[in-house]
Amino acid sequence: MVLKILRETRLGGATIVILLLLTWEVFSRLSLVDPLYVPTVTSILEALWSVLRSGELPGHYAASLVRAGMGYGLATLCGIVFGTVIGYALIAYNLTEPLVELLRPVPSTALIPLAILFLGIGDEMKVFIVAWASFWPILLNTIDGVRSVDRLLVDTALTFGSERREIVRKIILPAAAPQIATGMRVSLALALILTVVVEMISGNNGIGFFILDSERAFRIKEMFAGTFSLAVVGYLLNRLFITADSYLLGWHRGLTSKEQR
Amino acid sequence: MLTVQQLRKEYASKGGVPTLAIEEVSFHVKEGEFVSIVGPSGCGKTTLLMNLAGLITPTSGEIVVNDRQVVEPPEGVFLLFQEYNRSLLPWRSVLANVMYGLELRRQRSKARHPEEQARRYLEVVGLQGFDRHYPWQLSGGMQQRVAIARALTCEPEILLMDEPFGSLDAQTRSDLEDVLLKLWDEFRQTILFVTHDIDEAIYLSDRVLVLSTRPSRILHELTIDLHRPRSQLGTKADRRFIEYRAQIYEMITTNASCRS
Ligand SMILES: Nc1ncnc2c1ncn2[C@@H]1O[C@H](COP(=O)(O)OP(=O)(O)O)[C@@H](O)[C@H]1O
Ligand SMILES: [Mg+2]
Repeated sequence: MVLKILRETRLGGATIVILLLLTWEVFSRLSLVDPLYVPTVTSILEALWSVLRSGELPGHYAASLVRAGMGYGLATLCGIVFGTVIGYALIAYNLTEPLVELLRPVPSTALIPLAILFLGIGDEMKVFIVAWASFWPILLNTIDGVRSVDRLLVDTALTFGSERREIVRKIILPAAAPQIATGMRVSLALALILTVVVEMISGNNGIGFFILDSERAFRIKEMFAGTFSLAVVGYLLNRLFITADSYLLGWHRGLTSKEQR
Repeated sequence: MLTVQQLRKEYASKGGVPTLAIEEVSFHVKEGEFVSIVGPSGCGKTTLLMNLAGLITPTSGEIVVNDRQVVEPPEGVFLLFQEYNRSLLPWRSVLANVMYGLELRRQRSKARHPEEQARRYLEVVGLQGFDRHYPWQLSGGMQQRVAIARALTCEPEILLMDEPFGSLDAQTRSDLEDVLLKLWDEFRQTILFVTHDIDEAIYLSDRVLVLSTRPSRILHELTIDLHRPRSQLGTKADRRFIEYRAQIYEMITTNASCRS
């Protein structure tokens, strides 16, 4: 019975999270850790509720989501367009492969000084850094997805008299879509991370700024509240993505799970 | 309708000697004719069809369809691939797969009501009620029916079929042979049917071309004088059917033994 629940649901995993939070609460209450630096979970949640209600946190999130969204959107657009061209045309692949392999391993954070030099410390720089970081997984997955489209599907399209553009739109992109989605999912996490990082570097809004600023103002509960909220937001974004993915690309899961059987 | 003249095809291989798949093949197919090509596996049958479909270019020789030399996939010619299951689009439902051809610019004018037309051909191949399934949810025989319906929807003049029933069980296979004959009787496309099964070739065709082992040449051409409509039991018990089979069989085995 218990084993069945453990095997078939994630109740067990949720329980572990609750137990950890409880331990935290107890340690802080009994002052086994300094409650000044590690406030009780309940007081953090209280702080979270009050910054939510006052509109302080929602305001910061609005700013962050616009940045993250613009960077991520730009990365998705460029990643898919360039990835398709590079994956489809051998010449484009050979021309860009060395460049891609050189640029890809550079940690995006290492580019922040450069970006500040050319773009300033405003939103241009921030969106650029987020876009840059999110671009690579989408690009690489698109290239790979496009390159591994079954040759037979393209031949089929050709016998039906497909023009090049029709082949890209009706064969290549749908066939590569599952892998493009994989890249987009990795990038979504990166976009969130980089948004927080750049907001800590400059400016006066955004969730990254809020967390850092709370720490500086010694609003430790609010600092923790900001971090907690990011866990929830990250989780929700990922859920949203998975839902959209299984709705749009359900065929792929059906196909692969059948092959595995 | 379809003329092949001194077709030769070599596959280049990296560094090594090229593979000669087709040595020299010439033949002609008349409009509305049902011609089969039999030959041992690996002799170059798929290569021949890929050339006819304009997907690969011959090393030398000429292919003419409707008075035009084939340099790219010709209009009105549809190839049903040997690996038909891989030629269906897995992200599209059965109905959407069948409608695929009609969405393309080349064939768009062929249907005022693409969906109705697609449904009609799904019914013709006996797949009504499966329009919302995905190809990978169907059995091999049903997938092949989808592929056939998809080609039929574009109203082909010439159908090239590459061992279409080769991987199916005997029952499904003879069912589909009869479905195909019925279709052909109704629509009278020109059909070039590739198989390694001698009985199947004789049963279906007006004429059978027998290919040698690789590199292929045409060993013999046989006109099949069996009356239509044909039936699995009656036709296959016909004395002439048995004679044809013996003739082809002998040709193939003699050819195989002098090569080895
Ligand atoms: N793309 C290719 N590159 C090199 N050799 C090939 C290629 N396709 C087929 N061949 C070779 O050509 C010969 C004929 O193959 P194929 O036309 O597939 O035969 P069949 O369909 O009669 O079984 C085989 O020896 C095969 O190995
Ligand atoms: Mg073959």
